[in-house]
Amino acid sequence: MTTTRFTGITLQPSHTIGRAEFSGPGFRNPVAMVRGEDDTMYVVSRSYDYRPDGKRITICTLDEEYIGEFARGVTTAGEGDPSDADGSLIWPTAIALDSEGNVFVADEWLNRISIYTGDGAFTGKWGAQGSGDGEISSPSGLAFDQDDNLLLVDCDNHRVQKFTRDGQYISQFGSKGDGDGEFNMPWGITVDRNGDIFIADWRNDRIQKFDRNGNFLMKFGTSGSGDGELDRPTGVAVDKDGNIYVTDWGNDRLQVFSAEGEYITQTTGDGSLSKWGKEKLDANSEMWQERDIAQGLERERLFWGPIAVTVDDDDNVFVVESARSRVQIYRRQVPVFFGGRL
Amino acid sequence: MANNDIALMAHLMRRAGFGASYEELERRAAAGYEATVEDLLNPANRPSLEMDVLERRFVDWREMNALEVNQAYWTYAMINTERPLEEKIALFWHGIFCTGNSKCEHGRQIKLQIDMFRQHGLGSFRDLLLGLSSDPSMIFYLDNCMSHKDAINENWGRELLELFSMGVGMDGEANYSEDDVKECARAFTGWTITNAIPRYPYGRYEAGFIYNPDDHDEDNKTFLGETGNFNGDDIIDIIARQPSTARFISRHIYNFFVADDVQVPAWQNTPPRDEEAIKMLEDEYFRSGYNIGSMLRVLFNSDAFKNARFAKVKSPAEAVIGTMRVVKDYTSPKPGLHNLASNIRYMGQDLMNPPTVEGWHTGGEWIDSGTLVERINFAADQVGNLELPGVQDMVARVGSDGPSTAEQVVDRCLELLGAYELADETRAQLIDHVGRGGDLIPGTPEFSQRVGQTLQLIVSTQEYQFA
Amino acid sequence: MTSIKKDPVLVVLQLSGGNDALNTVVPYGDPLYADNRPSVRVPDDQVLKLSDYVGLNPNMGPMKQLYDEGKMAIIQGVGYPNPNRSHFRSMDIWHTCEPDKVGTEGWLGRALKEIDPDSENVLTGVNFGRGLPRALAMPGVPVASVGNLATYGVLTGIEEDDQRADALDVFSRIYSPAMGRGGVVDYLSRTGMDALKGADILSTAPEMYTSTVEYGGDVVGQYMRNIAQTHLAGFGTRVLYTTAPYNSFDTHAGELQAHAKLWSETSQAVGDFMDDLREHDAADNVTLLVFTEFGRRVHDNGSGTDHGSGGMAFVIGDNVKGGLYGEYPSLEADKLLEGDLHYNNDFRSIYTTLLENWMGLDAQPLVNGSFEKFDFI
Repeated sequence: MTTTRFTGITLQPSHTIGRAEFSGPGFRNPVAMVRGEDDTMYVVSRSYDYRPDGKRITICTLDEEYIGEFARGVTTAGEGDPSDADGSLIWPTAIALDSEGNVFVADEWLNRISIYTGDGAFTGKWGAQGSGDGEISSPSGLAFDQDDNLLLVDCDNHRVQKFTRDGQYISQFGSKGDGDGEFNMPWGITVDRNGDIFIADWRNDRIQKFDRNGNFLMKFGTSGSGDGELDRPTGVAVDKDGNIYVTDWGNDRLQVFSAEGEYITQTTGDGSLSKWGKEKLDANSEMWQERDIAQGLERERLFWGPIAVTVDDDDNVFVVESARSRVQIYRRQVPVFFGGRL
Repeated sequence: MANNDIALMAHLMRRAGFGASYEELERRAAAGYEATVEDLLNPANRPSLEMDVLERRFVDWREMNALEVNQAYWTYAMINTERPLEEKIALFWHGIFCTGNSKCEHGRQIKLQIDMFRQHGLGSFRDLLLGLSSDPSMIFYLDNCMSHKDAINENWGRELLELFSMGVGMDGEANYSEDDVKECARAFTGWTITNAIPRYPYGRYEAGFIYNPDDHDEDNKTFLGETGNFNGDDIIDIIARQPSTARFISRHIYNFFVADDVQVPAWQNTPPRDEEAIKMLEDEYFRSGYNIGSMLRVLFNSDAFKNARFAKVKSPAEAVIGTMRVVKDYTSPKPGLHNLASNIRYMGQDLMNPPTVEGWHTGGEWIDSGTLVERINFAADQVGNLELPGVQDMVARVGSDGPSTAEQVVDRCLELLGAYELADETRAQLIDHVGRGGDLIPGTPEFSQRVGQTLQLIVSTQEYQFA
Repeated sequence: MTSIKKDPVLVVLQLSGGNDALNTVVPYGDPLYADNRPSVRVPDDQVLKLSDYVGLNPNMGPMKQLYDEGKMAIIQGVGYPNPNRSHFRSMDIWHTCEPDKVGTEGWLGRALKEIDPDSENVLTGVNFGRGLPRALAMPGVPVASVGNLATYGVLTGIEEDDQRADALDVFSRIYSPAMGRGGVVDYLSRTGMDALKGADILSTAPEMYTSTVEYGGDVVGQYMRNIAQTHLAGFGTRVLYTTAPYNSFDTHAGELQAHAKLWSETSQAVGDFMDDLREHDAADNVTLLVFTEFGRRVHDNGSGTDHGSGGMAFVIGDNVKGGLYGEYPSLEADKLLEGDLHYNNDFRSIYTTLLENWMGLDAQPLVNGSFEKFDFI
């Protein structure tokens, strides 16, 4: 008897959100995002290093309504050093929401976790630089587990640490190396429905999976640019059926793997004009004509610097592109017959 | 090893690179002068920057869009490269083959041109000119995309001859005529670029070079006495074999790597500062098949070069990077890089945005009262910062000599900064000043402070402004 | 020129980034303004009205007062042929008066050369900010660039006062021209002594200064205060220049909030500056030019406005005949230039007016041509 395995997945391009801006509707070198309540989302902009005014967290909806922004490095455009004042950001890397919708943001320069309400009001911070238990060095990934504890990818210590929401150290796993359960500058993290933990083991060009206690379960990916090979994977996400999505940063693509880590499909991007993008073009209307005569406009579809991925419960797949200042959204479609007509 | 070996190595590293810490000078001097020249001439034998890690921490480097981001990147590369001549030769060509962001407004596109200089800058001059002729930012900057077979724009054709290869004249004679300019421009019709994707809403896209045969003038041209249906590459072949090209490139190399000569517009009527050295370079240009690396090999191993210590005013890039390589700050990613890079602009060199296609005037013209204050204050702030690892190294090395007189400390600091030499009177002033506190005793609280101040005074001198 | 005895002084405040003319001198009387600015509009009822057609941004109270006193000329629709929307290039054009080719000499650098041909006074021109704007660039013309007047000088990194004094003592002996060593070293020595002399003189300005005027803590406020201090110190400085923080007026996004803050600070700084000069009876020989490299798009982008053309400028001072100059460019779609205001007045007309009617110089060689003058001064 032959069994049909539903490993096939189609990524249907949905739409694109964003445009390059240092404030207001748009993002600047976004590095991370998280879905919020209802149809909201939070996007973290790293900005140009010399433009601290563009570092911020933008709140908007899936259909690109701008709601607001918070945690801006400085409040006016222009010169100025980045600020380490409470609530501001220098090198933000990751964002996660706890079960109450509070926003946790990691900063890999300050070695600090900043905490805000869902509306962006600063409520607290924690984090101390170092390599001892509970000390951190360049935090790069954040995810809450089902107990509302925060798993933190501790990049320069090559490990994952678990903290309570208020920063009390609980446990850790991993160390530097390329063996099973070892890391080389890990980056993205996600926790699936079973509580298993996935880590983008960035400089080992692979994804590793652990159980909730940090026991190694499996790994996949090797260095390269072929199907299923990885070049500095940044982000990882798992959908409700266990399929694994990886932003393959060096190869400028998104790859999808089965729950067992087998390669399924990939895409190099399907970017389209966002609502905010169209508004920008309307205000600079000769650019519409310039687009008509531009050569290579199809490059607008392509990912450039895919740096984070997330999947929501509605099968929306979000890919954050640092170098294009936008988020591309796909709908996951499983090739299963839904009835109706032949 | 002999101090002279260190002094010579410091000289080589200032010219073929951006200076080096004392530890690196010792290491390289031990390896030998000629071996170091070979090492510098073969950058691919050394590791490149780890761009994956750098793009991770400087997230804006993947896009590398704005001029300021590119300047920050180049500054970081010059400080940290293990291939100093690769960066130095890129800076050399950038000062000749100028392309400015004020017109192009596309920092990344100019960065790609600089990458081309990194890649081909030590190779064949002919290949380099070919790369330049098909470089999108240059085509845009000098309007060759606006030059058509029925309506030529002479801008590129003229500057290719005047500024990029032959120069207006030599030995009192003109090197080409106005007709040659026109014919050159005709030969380059059809060398154009893609229409750009607008920068809104998602940022810029790389431009592409296109050869459009429909817009190329297919009639015969007469260029520098030769006639044929020339295309751009034929023109470059003809240019490359001109004695005037050998002279022009040799004088540029001399002015950049050896000693300040008069400014370029004077070259038609002013003989080279060192005619023998220029002759040596011209000969090697032809002998090697226009190979720039071969010319530099001959040059660096020549007495003309070795004896030309401190015969050049540092460019702002050299002034900033040279100090940074000694004090060892920004050796790993850190915020604030743009502020550091801005010092090069404050001193009068806005990298990737030269004032005109003629580039920067060099030598003493780098200096005015405003830029001199910037130089002195920048260098003094750096070497006076006792928290920086390179400064701590220097303090420790002075300390390892045990209790020292002011004279010993001044001389040791001069050596540690790169075997600088002061005029006798200046040296006496410094010794007198440092000596007011008596001998310097390592371990005493004021020791580091006094060494730091000695370093600060040295970098404030006229002599430190020379490479 | 008026019958003042003191030498005329020109102060320039550069608003870098491209100030949005439409939200500064607001054509509130034109329904096309509201049509084009669905999101980024100054409400009619908040505009500080100057006429039935235009009014100032509500955050420009102090400048409105100067206008009401008849001391502020507003030049509308300023630009140049074939407008360039690059910050760098457009600012270069304003600085060098060379719209068609790339120039290296600044119009004020040339003016300084006329005023003080032998550079007898190292402080004839002073810039406040790091790096020299090209407007002041001219070979052989020394211009000090002062990042912070309170701390300006040579070897400012040495914190202890007596140690720094000692170090400067050594410095002056090392750089003493008497040590003549020939060539470039001599040139460096002279330049070093010039720098030291300039810094020594400038550093006395804050000590000599007292005022009841309290400037804002923002960059423009502090630099306008530095300019007042330098002017009041009587060093013979004739051209003083400063720039609002790099590209701060580049309001692509969040414009209403950002622009309000920018103008409230800038207008306050200008008002404080004039109050300060008047308090010291030193306003009669000063004229202030406020300019920007270009205007912005007529149509907003939902949050801000992008690079456009057709800007505006202000000329302020007790010798200025206030009022509106030049016609406001039409907002009608067919009168626009690629979606931008069409300029009516060449910026070099403003320069020519200032150079000739105020500074008493022949403007033609300084601005590369002959341009019709305004009668605002």
